[in-house]
Amino acid sequence: MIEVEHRFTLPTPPEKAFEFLAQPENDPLWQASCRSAVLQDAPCGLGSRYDIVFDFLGRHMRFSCEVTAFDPARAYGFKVREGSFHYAAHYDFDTFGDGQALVHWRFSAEPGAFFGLVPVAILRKVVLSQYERDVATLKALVARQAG
Amino acid sequence: MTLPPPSQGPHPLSPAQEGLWFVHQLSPECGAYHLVFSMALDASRHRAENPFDALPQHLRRLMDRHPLLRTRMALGPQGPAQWIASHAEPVLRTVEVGDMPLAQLRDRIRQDTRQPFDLTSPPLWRVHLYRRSAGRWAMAVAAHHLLLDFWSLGLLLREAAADCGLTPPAPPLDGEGFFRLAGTAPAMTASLPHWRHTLDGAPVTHGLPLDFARPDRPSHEGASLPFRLQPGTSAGVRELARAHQATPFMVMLAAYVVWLHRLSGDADMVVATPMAGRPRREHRLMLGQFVQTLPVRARVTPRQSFTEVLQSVRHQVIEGMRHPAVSFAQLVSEIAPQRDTRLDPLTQLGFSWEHLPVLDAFAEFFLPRHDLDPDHTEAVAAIETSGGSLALHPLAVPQQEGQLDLLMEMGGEHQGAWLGVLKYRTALFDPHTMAQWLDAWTHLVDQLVRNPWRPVGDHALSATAVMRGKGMVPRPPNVLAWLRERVDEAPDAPAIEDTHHTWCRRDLLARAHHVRQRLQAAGVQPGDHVGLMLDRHADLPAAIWGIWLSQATYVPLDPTFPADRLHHMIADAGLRACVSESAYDALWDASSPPRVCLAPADEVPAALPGNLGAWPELPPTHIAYILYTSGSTGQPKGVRVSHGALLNFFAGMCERLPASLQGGPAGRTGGRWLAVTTPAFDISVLELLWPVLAGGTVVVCDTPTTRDGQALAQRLKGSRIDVMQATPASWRLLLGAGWQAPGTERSLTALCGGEPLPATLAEELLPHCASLWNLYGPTETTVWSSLAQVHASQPIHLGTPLANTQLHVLDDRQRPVPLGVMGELWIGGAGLAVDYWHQPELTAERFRALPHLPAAGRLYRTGDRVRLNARGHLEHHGRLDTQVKLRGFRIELGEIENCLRRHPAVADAAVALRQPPASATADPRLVAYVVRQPDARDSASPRAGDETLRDELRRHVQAHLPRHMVPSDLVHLAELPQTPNRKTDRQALPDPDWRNRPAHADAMPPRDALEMQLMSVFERHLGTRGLGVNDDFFQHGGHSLLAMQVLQDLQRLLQVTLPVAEFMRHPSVGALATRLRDQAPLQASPLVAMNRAAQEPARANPVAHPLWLFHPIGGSVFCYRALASHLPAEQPVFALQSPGLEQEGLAEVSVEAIAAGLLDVVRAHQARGPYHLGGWCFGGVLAFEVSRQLHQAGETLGSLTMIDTRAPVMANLPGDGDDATLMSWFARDLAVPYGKVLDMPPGMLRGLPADDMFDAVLRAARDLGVLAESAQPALLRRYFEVYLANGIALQTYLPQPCPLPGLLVLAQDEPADHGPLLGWEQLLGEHLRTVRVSGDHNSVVQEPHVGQVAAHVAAQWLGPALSTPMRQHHD
Repeated sequence: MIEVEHRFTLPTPPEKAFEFLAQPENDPLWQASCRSAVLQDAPCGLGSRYDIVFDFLGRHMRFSCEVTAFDPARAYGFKVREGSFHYAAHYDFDTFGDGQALVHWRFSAEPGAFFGLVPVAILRKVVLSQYERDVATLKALVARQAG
Repeated sequence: MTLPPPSQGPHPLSPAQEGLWFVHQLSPECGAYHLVFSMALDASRHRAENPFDALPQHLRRLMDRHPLLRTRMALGPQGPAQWIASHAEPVLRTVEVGDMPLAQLRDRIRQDTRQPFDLTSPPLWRVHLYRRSAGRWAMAVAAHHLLLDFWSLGLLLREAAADCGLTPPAPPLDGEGFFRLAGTAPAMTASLPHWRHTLDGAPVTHGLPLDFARPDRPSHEGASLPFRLQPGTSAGVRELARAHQATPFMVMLAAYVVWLHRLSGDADMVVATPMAGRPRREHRLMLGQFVQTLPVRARVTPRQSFTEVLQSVRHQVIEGMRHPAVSFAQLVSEIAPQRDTRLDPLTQLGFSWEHLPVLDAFAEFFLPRHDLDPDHTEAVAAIETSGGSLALHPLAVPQQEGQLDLLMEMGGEHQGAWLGVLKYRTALFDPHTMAQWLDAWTHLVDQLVRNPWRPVGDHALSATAVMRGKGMVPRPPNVLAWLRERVDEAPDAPAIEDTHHTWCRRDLLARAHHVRQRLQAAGVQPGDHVGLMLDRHADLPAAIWGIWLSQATYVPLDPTFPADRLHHMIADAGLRACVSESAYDALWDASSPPRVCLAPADEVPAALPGNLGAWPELPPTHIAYILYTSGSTGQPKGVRVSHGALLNFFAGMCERLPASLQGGPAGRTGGRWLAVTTPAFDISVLELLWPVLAGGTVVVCDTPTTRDGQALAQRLKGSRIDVMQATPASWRLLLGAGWQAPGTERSLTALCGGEPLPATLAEELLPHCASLWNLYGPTETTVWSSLAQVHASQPIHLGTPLANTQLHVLDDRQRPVPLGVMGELWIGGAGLAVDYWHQPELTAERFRALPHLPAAGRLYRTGDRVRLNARGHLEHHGRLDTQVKLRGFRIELGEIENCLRRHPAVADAAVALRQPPASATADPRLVAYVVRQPDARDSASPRAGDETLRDELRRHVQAHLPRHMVPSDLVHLAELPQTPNRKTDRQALPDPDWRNRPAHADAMPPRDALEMQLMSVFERHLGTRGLGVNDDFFQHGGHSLLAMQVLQDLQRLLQVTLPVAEFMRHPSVGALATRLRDQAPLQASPLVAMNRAAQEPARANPVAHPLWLFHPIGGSVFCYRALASHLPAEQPVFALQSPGLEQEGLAEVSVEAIAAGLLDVVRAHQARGPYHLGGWCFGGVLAFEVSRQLHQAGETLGSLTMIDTRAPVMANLPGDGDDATLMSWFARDLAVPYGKVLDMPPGMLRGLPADDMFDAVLRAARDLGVLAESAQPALLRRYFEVYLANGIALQTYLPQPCPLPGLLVLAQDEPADHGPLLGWEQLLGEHLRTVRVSGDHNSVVQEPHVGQVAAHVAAQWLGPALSTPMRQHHD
């Protein structure tokens, strides 16, 4: 089991941050390893499903996910229904400082033997490291949109 | 002129002290170097309750007067040193002992005075007082020899005696001069050539036989045996000394040398002899430790007269005294003899002549008269005090025992006789042996003095090592009469069985009679030689009996022997006929003797004919058989054994083997024997013939079963066998097939002989046997000459001789040796064979009547090396022809073989000394031949690869035997070649594959950062290069003082404290690294000091800024070893390895994080710039990122060098691979820094479970020498984690351009094309400079290309400032 969490701020209000992050089809825009994401039942809401494809650590992964939390400006979550392995993620949104969004991201996965020889300790670090890079992209993207 | 008093210190130790200090570090518990002065005191005329109440005050005054008595010692910054304490309290220990018997009191004092001193806590001497009953006391003063010598003790006693009014006032002592002298020890440069010459090629150890296996390190536990020469002998010693301008010391030293020569056979030896070491008048009143130990190299041959030996020893002593400016410790350091940590350096033998004038007044107290009762002898002196009188009596207590293996002390004289004491290490010698040797000593000295012109080899020693079997007369007149008795007694009792037949005794006799008839029909006459060539079935014993019924001699011919050998035997024996069968027709030709084939067994009437004819006479001289054994000429030689010898053997076995195996008088049947031995091996005589005589049954085992362990095991069970006799090879065959006693039933009596029974085999057999017997005897003395029952956990020996047999242990001149001394076994008695057929010269050589043993009769010379030990057991020490000498060491190959066999993965082993063909001038090498244990037999023995097992076995032997006995080559064999008699055929052992053996097999380079640092320390202190991780520090010039320096370095570099003794036990880089890893936790620092300046900051150029080299993708920094060696040694070079190599979970997955962590380490050592950074491959990327972070922090960059590093730009992003590909890359890159190739194609790994994949790489990496032999899977997983993390980091690192001045070193021979500047122009732009050097990407950091790289790195680092701005500010 891999469990990772990360807190970060976005230069936009929580409502806007939620709007962007709670839209699976935005994922390829800021997640370097995400190749595509297709929402199956728009608009996105609790119980919505989407298909998402990643290339990560040299491996190609396909997942069918379900939205498990959808509370605008407050929480967003999803989990795998079918796919290469199971994972789930949850975002909590709050206000930080003068109206920025404070995002708390929690992620858990059970990759089993999917990553072969890659030790869990490395996997955890890579997930976090990659996510931190992605957040940098996200911030820049959000800043551009806000500007 | 008055000299100022010595400062408190530190004062350097004198050279003599340094040696003792090192001994103390090795064995802090050692009490062997405590000087003791002891006496008994009678205070019955003293009025005080305790007449020693004032003693502490006296002792304090003594300590105030003499600073030496307040000295302590410790390791200072410049090595071991001594300090003078301003004040120290005397140590006085008083105990009540009441009526303790004198012997017990002596032992108590001995133990108390051996209690160790803490050298760091003064005083290093103490007083023990023992209050006995009736106003009697005993006193002992113990002082560490490090502090003072016997001379000093005498000076102090003289001063004390004068203070007590016992002697006239003594001149004042010089208690301070020693401290001034200690620091000014003369250099030994002038005398070194003498000692080098004297000790060149000296033996490393003596050849005295030990009673007990030598422990891993010298034990200092010892015992003493006092002795006294006869007054006449003593007078002769003095006279001899006068006549040869020698001293009694020289005469006795010469005698000691001869005695050692006679006991050990050594012709060359070194004996340590202590000298006072006070050559100048002003030394004579000084307190301190001045003793110098002189090594006397003595050569002695048996033909030399004692006067010649004396002249030689005299010359050696005088020459040695002319070159005295040397201490024994210095000598060891300078000569650096080949070292074995189990041995004292240079010699383990000593001779001490203690006759100091300063002790004359106290001579009575120092005589080794351990039997003297002070309560019943006159007082030597009396001290009058105000409280009354104290009468002083000598009370000798053993002291300084265990310093050497053997130490003879003499010099004391009493009533015209020299007294002495033999001190020996109890870990090596048994007191009974020592007592025998001491008898031989006094006897020999007497002879040497009486007849000094006689060759020393001619003098007899006083003891006789002989074992005599019981005297008895066999009851039946011959074996045929005996058989007849058995048949008449119980004709229907079972006698012979094979797969198809079961014969009673009557059947056997009938069948034998049939053979007799056929032979007579063929014209065989009494005395003729008849061949016996039959398959293994019931006819085999019957035919032998039949041949004897014909009064003929049988000559066994095993049809499975090579045809050439058979033809030689047939021709040589002059056969009249041969009992054979049609199956072997092909072996016969026209010149062969007539064959006699027997009628099918079923056609022979079961009943005996009514008239057997005249029962044949078989006089004792009649030849029973001629048995061919291997001959040194390559052709077998026939041994003729008489019926008298055979009858004696059979009768002797009846007396020795358990009665349960023999039939009773009432027809009770004896044991069932399985006969498995070829009739061509004489031991078959016992199993084919004796059982019936003893009332038992012979079960003849068929040939295929004798060769199939599983079938043999089934036969043992199926045929309800009670006894089996076999060679060790056959027993191994059986055990190898998984044979074991059924359930808890252990009914089998196992007889083992033909070759030495290894202890390991005995241990395996014993749990499955009712009893196990070790049988010994050459063919020439009729089957077996001695036997012993083997018991668990007890040493295996040859046992006691059979009836009418004598076993003599003789020296090389055929004289009896004393107990405990090695000799050759000669066998006499009724079992001796008649001769070698048609070989009178050989017969005369091996069967001899000896002039020294006229009563022993004819004796057979066995060629076996044996020893009658103190417990009365005859030990076998191999063949004289398997004892070899290598580099001065005498080696018994069997000892190594036994050690190898004790390893669980080894089924059998042989060792030989072989000379590599292309290097005739090189030392020959010990080669081990090993047969692996079958997998099924031993689950504890992993089926490791050959190379892995080789390393395992090497470690195993190293752990149990001295280094000179560790084979340098190991050959795996499916089985050891065997002679037809199933003995190891040593001649047929193959040569190793010399061509594929590296010139220096041990030159294995370091395999990780720890080994690399250790290697660097070793090489620096030894002043050498090119060592391998298995090279022994002490065999490459290391000595005690250098060892201390190494340990000091380890303390500084690795923060580990290791006792000297541990270093002695792990004296190679590899062993030491393993030991240090075991001592975890080692500090897991990424910092690796790459050169002397980095290891010893005090010696570095104070203005130098270090060069920092960053690890490549594998995480280790071994790749920089060659580079560092080309850079200036006075400029510190550090490398940074991945922290994840040492500790799981520390590997980072981004270049930024890796660099940040390493930068913390850099800044902890170098707070401010300029920083000089560099790296090869991925290390260049790290150097760039660290530079970038320094740049952002506003620090100064000195230089940045990327050695053939691809820039972290999009075009260079590495690709991905599956697990097998990743593992293949990992294996490849594991070896690259070592300049080696580890090619494990992905296809080879794909499909393996992860653990197996790791195991495969681990094995391969170990075998290639890129991982230590001790590397475990967890280590490899950490390495892989680091590799993977670095790879991932590289995949995700795409930095922005940064204006840093960098030098790119390009490997111009690299075939892969990654652009002319490897992408760096995108990151450094105009600040990039490039240079090209020869080599490809991997070889550029190896010889010979690395020198060019070093020149460029050095120019960047130490040369003129770069043209671009040095200081980069972050804006």
